[in-house]
Amino acid sequence: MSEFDWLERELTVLGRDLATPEPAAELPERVLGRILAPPPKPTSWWRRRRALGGLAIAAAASVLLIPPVRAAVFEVFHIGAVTVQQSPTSATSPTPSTSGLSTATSSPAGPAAGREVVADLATATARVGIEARLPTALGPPRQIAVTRAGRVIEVRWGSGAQERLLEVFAGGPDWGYLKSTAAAVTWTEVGAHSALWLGARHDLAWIDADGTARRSAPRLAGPTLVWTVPGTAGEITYRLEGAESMAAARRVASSSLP
Amino acid sequence: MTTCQEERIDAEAEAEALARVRAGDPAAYALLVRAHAPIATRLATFWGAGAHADDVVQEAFVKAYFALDRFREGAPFRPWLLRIVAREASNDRRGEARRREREQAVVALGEPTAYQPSPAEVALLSEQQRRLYAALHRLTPAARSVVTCRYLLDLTEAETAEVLDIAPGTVKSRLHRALVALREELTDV
Repeated sequence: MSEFDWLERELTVLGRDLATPEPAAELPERVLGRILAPPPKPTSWWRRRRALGGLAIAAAASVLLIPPVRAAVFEVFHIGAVTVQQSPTSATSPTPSTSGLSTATSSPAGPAAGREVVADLATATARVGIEARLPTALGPPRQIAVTRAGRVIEVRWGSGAQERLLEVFAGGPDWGYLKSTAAAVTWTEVGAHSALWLGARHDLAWIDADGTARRSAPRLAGPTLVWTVPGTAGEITYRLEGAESMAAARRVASSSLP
Repeated sequence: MTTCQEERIDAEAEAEALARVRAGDPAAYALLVRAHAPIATRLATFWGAGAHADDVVQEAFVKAYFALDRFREGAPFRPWLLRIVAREASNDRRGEARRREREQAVVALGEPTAYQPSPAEVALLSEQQRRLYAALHRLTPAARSVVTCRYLLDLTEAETAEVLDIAPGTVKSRLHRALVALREELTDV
């Protein structure tokens, strides 16, 4: 017991009663965003861009097409073989789109080229040469295919507004998906793995690895969760499209983990 | 306004999250951010960061992440982080002071300036608390910083010492002198 007990108690209570501000809700995501994609410094900027190869060309091209005054690309995020450029002037329009996902047939220059429906996951993983685990939360899939000239495993569940699309691929530093969005991008986790949630519809383009960084025509993609899982031959990128919320997408994604 | 929900974290979960971050899994760092964001924001506010508190805390978490190789494994994360927050808040304030060309605003590094609660906030305090608060701000900055850490933020003496980068004995002696001064102020009137 000390002669100052009452004063110490008063000070502790005062500390609790002083209503200091609560931390911002998106603080963890903002911190992760900074850690995973630090703002490029003048010197390292070119190095990173050069390492990105095809993506850099695509990104630069899209920047050049935007009037200079609105050209700012807010941030560039990388997760696995997916690059997200968040810009206030993304081509993504708020035009209401038909529900459901773009399918191979309805997407003009979509994955129809080199798309092959296969019997089961084992065939797909053997063909693409990567490991993949399907989420159990969605039950048995409606269709499994190999797309992008044997680079991507594509799995579909349900149809119409209920359709869910999962793509699994290895990608590389200069090939994979480029997403453009004006909406918020949220860092989150799937189990112990980093994940990125794009809650709004966004532009999606495939950058191929044929040396010329051919960019297939973009299509509008629905809300998407992207996460990566380490594989024996490098990082595997998972991309789940069509879930109604981040929580729902994370639940599905978690069910693919061992 | 939605806020970053505090997620309690015990020492074991914290050590595990830190090990995962060190092993190259940055996502695990989000656990630490959620666990410590509320107290970090409170410290930044008491250190006078005001409207910058969010920026200061974000910057501190990013700096802490990139300084993790200097963090002693097995040590508690909270005081180590809060020391970075305090430094960041002081730097922010000095930058702010420079921006406003207030050359006379000499602010010692690592000491809180007067945190000014809003009138609405003051209205919620009791008369006794208002007097205590006013007395607190008549202390020297060094005394106020130990009282802020030890009582307003409810840190231990050891944590207070680490946050302020002073010896534990110095914490004890400064606390004692501060309490004597506060008692005099409060019983004088």
